Amino acid sequence: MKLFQLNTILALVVFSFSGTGVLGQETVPEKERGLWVARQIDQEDQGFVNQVSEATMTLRNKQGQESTRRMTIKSLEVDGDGDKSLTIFSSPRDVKGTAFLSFTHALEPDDQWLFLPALKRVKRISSNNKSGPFMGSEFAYEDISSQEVEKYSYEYIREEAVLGSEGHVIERVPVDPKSGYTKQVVWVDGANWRIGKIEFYDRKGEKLKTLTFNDYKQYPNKKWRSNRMEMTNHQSGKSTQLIWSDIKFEQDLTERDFDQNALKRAR
Amino acid sequence: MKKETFSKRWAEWVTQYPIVFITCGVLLALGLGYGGQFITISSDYRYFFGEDNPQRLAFEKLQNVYSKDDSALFVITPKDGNVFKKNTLSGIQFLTEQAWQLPYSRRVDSITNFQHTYAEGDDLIVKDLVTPEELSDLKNKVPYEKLREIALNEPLLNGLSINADASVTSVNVFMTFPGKHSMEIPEAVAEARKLVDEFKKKYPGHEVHLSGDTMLNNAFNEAGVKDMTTLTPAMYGVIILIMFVLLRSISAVFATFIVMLLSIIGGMGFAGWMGTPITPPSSIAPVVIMTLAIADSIHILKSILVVLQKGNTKRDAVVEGLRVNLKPVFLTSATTIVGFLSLNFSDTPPFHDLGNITSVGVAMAFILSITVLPAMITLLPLKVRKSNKISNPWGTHVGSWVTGRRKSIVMISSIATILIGLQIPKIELNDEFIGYFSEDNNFRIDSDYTMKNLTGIYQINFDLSSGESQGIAGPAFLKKVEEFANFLRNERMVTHVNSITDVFKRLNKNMHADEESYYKLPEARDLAAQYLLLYEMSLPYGLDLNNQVDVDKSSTRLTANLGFVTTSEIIEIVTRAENWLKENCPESMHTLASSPVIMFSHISHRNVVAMLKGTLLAFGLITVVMIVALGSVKYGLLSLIPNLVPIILGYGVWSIFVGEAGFTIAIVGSVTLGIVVDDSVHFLSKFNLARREKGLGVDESVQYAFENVGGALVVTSIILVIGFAVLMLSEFKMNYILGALSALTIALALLIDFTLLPAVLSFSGGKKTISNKQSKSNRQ
Repeated sequence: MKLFQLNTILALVVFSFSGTGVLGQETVPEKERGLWVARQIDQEDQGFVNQVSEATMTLRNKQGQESTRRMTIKSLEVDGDGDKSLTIFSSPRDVKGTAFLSFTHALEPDDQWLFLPALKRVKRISSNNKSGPFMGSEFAYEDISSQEVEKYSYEYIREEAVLGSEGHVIERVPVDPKSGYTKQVVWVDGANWRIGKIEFYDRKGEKLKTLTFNDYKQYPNKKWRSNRMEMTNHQSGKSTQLIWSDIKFEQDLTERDFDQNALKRAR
Repeated sequence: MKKETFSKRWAEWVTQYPIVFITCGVLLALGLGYGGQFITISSDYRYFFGEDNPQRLAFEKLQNVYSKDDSALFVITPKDGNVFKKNTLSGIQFLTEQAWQLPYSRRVDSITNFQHTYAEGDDLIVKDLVTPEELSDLKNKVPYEKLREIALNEPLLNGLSINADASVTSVNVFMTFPGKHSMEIPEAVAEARKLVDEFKKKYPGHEVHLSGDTMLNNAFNEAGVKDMTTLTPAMYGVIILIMFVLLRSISAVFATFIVMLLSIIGGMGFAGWMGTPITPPSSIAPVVIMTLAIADSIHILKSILVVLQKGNTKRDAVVEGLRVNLKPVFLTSATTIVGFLSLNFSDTPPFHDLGNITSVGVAMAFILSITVLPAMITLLPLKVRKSNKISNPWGTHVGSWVTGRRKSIVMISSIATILIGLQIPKIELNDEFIGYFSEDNNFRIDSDYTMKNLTGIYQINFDLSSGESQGIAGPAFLKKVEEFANFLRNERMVTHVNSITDVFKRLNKNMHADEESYYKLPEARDLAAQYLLLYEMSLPYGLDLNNQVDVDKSSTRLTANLGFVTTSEIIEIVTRAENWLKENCPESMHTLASSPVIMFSHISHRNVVAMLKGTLLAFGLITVVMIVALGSVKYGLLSLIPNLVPIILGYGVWSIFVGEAGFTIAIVGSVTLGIVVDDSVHFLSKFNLARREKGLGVDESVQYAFENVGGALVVTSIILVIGFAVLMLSEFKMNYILGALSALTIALALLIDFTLLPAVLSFSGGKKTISNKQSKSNRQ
């Protein structure tokens, strides 16, 4: 993230003088206001170092049937590049111990590997899948991988209350032509730079999904995390709920916990 | 007698204040007609099935578990018969890419974006079979031969997306219609057709055919619109011509035309007010209303003209013509409405619509015939040649001929009715829905082409459950699924089977360095589950397994495509398949097949059963009406003969000479019932009049009836036969059958009314002394 670090530091300095971000925005030219919001979100999230959490994903179809997957997700903040993350599945039983390693990059395709315990092998996953569903859910990879500022171009839409405080609505267009979306509309709260809601538009510009972020909690390191995300597919009538628990920061993790060997050790 | 005075008073009012009556009639029709602007056209085949139709519910459940989509199938044939060359493959890539932009498209499957998997070192490669970059890469030669081999060896493609000699291929677009407005499908089809044009311009040397569920839906829509826009004008032409011949008066024709027009406006406006969508069955309502409306007018006009011919003043003629017809026209309208309302018993909502729209139209026709029609005649100039002919002499001849041979007529008719009636169960009900459309219909042409050259478009789906969460990776379950897929592949009509087992076999091979000996189902459950996870995680946008595997990975959808099959063959195959599952698989896999074609396979039977009830009820009601109207239980019950026999004969004759029919056959009984009753009403009321008012004997009364209504019955029957025959011009076979069989039944009804009915009436009197007693007791 080097390119932008100077800018963000500058911005931070400016805001610290001008009070809250919402007031501060008046100094941002209209054209760059969308990008400015995106940077606030990114800035707000920086410095979490690493994070370990449990996630429960519940898939629901139109018929009302449900299915649950459980996983442990570890992520590592990487300076100057996208974050690294390791996902270890604990259920369903047949895929227990399967681990998924991903190195997010801002503009390059992500690197992804999957460890299959039944085969005792690590398999590289081709990168044209970023638009595909994650574990059969309504989340695509690109929805859950780390949201680097450079992945989109931005436009500011309007001011609107989000999560109970003054906020912003911005539109972001994926830079990668392989993305499954033509655009996303993002609702952001202006006080803590938390995302309240994202609407996803498919390749023909039709509204496809809505993701809401609920039950935000602030952790000792001042970071805010949503503990319940709901993704609804408007076209298929299916939905996926993602519940986070046991969120811990600044654990004893290093780069070595995020390489291909770590995949095999992960359980 | 009370009613007679009312009829007379009414007739006098109408002639006294014609302007008032015209204004009221027109305002009523236009008030109803105002709703016409809200008319929508339904383009959803599901609307043919009631919301609690079990086959529809089963299919909707399947769609809710997997995916609800209607396919638009682009079938591409390069003229040189070779798909695997740069030009054609680029064209398919172009179509595939553009198809994502079609409205409501959710998924696009073609040979180029097929997710080809292979081993590369230790990795599983999942990618498009051929990418645009590879095709335009000048450095590396494109291995067309190899691509062809891969495609033909792939069970998911061969027989579905590509034919065996690689000369025809397809791009299959899955669309999910939200169903919020009626233009969704026509809109998508218009865009699809535009895309075809663009493709043809960019890639000449290719033929394109469009088929699939979306096109089927659209074909229903277009058939409905076409019937309304071609049959209705054709009907106007025919009717106006007939009226000129019969009435020979511009004023009379003009007045009748206005009545017809306003009745249709009223009926269709009612559809608009009620929010009834137009479908092929209900699109014929204008023609039916027109046919029935004209019968009312003709009866009244004929009477007016006859009185006028005798040298009376026009006003007297109108009063008399209206007076004698008010009751019979009311009765015939009432029975017709009862017949059409009984369509509400049908299992197919479009028939409810046809029945309700027509009923309103017929009611309007009745009201207008006794208001606007006589009022207009009062105002318009009407000239006739004076004549002293009182009645038609042939009526007398026929009358005496029939009563003279009453014994043989009754005998022959009874035997014929029984023999012909016995043929009815032999009618084969075929609802192969492509056959609903005539051979020059585009959907029919394109679908036939697809069936002949690529794959069957009749799909049947099986929701196979393993009975446990994540169970689809279980080796025992997979083995059963594969056996079932193979069982289906051995069925003669099955052109393709899409089964998840083929994906598992391919992945197993890929994971073993593409070694052919591993092209079999994985033997361990966790291994299979992890293969699937890896594969799933590698699939791009829109090409996931959601349409084949449920969220819990506990069940999978297996789809078989069938080629040209009749409804009974479909039911046989489905039954065999369902039985196979019962005999060979654990209970969780015992499932019922579901799909649109299965829904249509049961539509006839369900409608026949449902309409049997409706028709019987209508019969009962109409017989009661007849008893009350004729004031005689005996003659009311006797009316059952001329009402019932033509319908039996109609179905029987159809069975002998045509033999095949679809679901409309169920409603012909109800539709014609209300109409053929009209003939008996007219005949019996004149007969009754002669017996009671004139005190004539039975045979003389028959003569009287012949002389007085014989001519009018012939005339109205001809009009009705022609009116229903016009429906035979429809591109929609169900309307064709409805028209042909109804015309046949109405013609037979006339025959029966002129032979069997008088013969039976003649018997009913026995000796004259008894018949006099009878008529006395009736008068009390």
